[in-house]
Amino acid sequence: PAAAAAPPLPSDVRPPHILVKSLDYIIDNLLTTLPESEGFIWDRMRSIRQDFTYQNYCGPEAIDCNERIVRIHLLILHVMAKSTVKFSLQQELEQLHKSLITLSEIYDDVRANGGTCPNEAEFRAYSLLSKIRDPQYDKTIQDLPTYIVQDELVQLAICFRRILSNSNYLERGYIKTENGINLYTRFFTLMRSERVPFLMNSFLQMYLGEVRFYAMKALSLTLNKRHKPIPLDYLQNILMFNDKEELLEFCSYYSITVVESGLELRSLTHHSHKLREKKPLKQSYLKCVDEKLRRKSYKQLINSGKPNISSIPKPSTQ
Amino acid sequence: MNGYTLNDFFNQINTGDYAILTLNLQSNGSQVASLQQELQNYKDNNQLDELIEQKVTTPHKKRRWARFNIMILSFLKYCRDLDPWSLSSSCDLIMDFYTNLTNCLLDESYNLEPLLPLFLEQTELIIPMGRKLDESYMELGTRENQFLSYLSSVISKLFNSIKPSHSDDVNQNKPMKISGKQKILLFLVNKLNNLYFRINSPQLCSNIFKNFPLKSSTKQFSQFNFKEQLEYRFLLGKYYMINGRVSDAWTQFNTSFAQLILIGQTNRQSDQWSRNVQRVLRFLVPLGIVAGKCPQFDGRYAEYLQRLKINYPELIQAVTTGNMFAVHGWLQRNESLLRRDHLLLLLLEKLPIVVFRFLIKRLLTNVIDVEQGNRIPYSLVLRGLQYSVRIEASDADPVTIYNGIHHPDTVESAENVLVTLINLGFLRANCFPQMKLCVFQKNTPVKEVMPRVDQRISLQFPLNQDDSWLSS
Amino acid sequence: ETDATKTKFDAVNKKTLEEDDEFEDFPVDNWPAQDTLKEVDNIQDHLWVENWDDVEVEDDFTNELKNELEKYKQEHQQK
Repeated sequence: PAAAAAPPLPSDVRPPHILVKSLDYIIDNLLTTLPESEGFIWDRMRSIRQDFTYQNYCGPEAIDCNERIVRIHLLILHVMAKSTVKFSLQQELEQLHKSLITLSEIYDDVRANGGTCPNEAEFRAYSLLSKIRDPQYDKTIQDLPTYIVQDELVQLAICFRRILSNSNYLERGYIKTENGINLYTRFFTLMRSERVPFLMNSFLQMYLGEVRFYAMKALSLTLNKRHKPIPLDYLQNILMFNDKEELLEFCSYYSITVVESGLELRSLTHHSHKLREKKPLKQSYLKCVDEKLRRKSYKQLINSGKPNISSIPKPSTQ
Repeated sequence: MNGYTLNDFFNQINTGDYAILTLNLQSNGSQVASLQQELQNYKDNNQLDELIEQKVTTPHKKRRWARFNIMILSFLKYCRDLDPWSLSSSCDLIMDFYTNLTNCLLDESYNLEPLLPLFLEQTELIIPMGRKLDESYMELGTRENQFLSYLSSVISKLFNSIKPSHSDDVNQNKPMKISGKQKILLFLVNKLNNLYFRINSPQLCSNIFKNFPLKSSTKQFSQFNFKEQLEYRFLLGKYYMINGRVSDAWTQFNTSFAQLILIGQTNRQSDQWSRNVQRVLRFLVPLGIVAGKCPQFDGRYAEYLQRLKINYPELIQAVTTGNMFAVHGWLQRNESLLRRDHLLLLLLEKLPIVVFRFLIKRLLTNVIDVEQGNRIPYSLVLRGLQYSVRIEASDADPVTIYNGIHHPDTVESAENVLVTLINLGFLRANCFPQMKLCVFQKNTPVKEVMPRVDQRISLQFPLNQDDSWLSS
Repeated sequence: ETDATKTKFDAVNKKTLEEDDEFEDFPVDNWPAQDTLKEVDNIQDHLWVENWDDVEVEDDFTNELKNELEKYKQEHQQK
């Protein structure tokens, strides 16, 4: 995509109500053509958001479209993880992240002017999951009003951030902090919980690879030299691999020795889930999350928010 | 006896007496009032500009100082158009004057020293004004934090203008003569970082903390004004805390507390002093607990500790007994205060493993001292965890941060806690997943199988080396 | 219910002077000597317990935990 395309002529920029219609069209007709149409949808959604930015419009239509675009991105993450169609995960996450930042800025402005947005808590929760180890988000969420912090989706997102805290996490630019609890077992049980909505599960599936890596790493560091190989189904169970093949693929990616009776966990010598010399591990998904997706149509899933009309503050009658 | 005239003003300026150039109307209100009348004859700014070019003899005989004259012009425009009863209607005049005064200090080739005290005074005056203006952003129709953000950009321009200095002849014992802008370097650092915290952008502090030692001509932190040193450590501690860096934050607050006490021993303990002590303790105590330190609540500093709004002895009781249920209750009771200090999620994240460490130590003490055993079954650990966490919520109940994180339900979840304790060095043992057992060295006392938490943490989390110069 | 909790939080959020966590300037008449200002250790030693593990604290929870332990042992005695 042309990174710095010249801004379009005013005549080319579609007004808010037209942008809403274009997004409605995508939702009504194109979602079912996923995964093949991922690139096209990605481009159409980006141009809708750009048109709002060009006209500097942050009214209810902009909030509504950005919210639904975020939900579509979250749906796409799961659908693409399940499919073999090639796509750029990095570009999907980049647009998802930008949409969440736009929404946070609009929510801040609406609040500063005395208004409220009915779906704000849902997207503050997704923001907490977008950079799950960035301490800045923990500060921001604590500054928000109580009714946002105590919303169940935000409470869930906060729980997952604590569950994933890990003092052995290693990545360039990340500064490790004390007393990370690394509750990998709790991560998987909570993922199965009915209290966690599909779209949140879909976002959290981005962290499956690192949760599994640091779980195995942590376990390997507790085994003594003469430990017997760990049975495959033990790890497949606690780390919720969909099947044995997926577990074996994971082991070969991280060069973990597999013997007849199981895994030689101590052969895992990597300290970071990121391997410089290899392409990232293929994004995976959980069957239980896929089952949750089946209960609703894509359209119901995306158009699940409350209308944003009430976000405009009543003109202050001084 | 007629009032203060423009000529009086120019004569004062030309003799290097800049006291008149202040926003503090308490001290120059009458002069400004009489100048305002006279300045009605200079409605046209160019006319006023010419007057200044004519009247002001620059401190540097040969070189014209453009920025100095622009500053004088903006001050006279302030005097001319100021409405003393409405801060908001004069805010542009005030901001312009302060900006131009700060710009005078950018170019070090001029003699800046005489302007430094004036700049410090105006900075102390204008920040509270900016705060007041920002507090009524809705009526003024300005953005949130607009004025304080603007002021931080003006001050950061001055901070950036101070060139990094590599004092090659670093003579440790002979204190370097600190000249020019170096004199106000730490003042600028503290003001900037305070502003960044106030406008909710504390991440901007990281650049200031990084560049400060590079820019400082003295490499001895103790050379700086002591109160500024104290405030610097306090801000550095807060920055580390919101980034979850417990050991670094604790160290800075711990030193701030000790130095405040030292000063309090040789001085009257003013209200401001005791409020600062409370501000430090508010962060120091919880950070210490997370880092495995227990405060002496009835020790020498009991008086200060007991004044804390949050009941920390209650937390110590819950942590020391390994009672996670009580810790959750304590967090919930103090939620809004902890949240406002940005401590809630840090404690929610980093206390549990310390709680479980104390819990498992109780179980191990029984296994080692009573049964002389060297292994503990996962099922016993699970029983202890379930008793400590005491989750009543079922899957149908809404998830909260107090019932959603810890759910010891299977022996694997118990193994998970043991694995984390071992990885953090709080437990020296091996796990045997197939046998569902955790085994530790025979005939070894409990305090070696489970070493002190604070010593393990300081071993595993060494302090940021960039701060070592702070103890020079 | 949202407006009630909203205003409650914002009321708590408005920081009074001493809750405000910005350092205040304070009067100092006579300064301790430079090196005394570096003797922070002895003050820190009186702020913190030397070893937290030495803090003895028994309560209902620890007593009931012991019973729980005994119950566990009996259940696993027969195995």
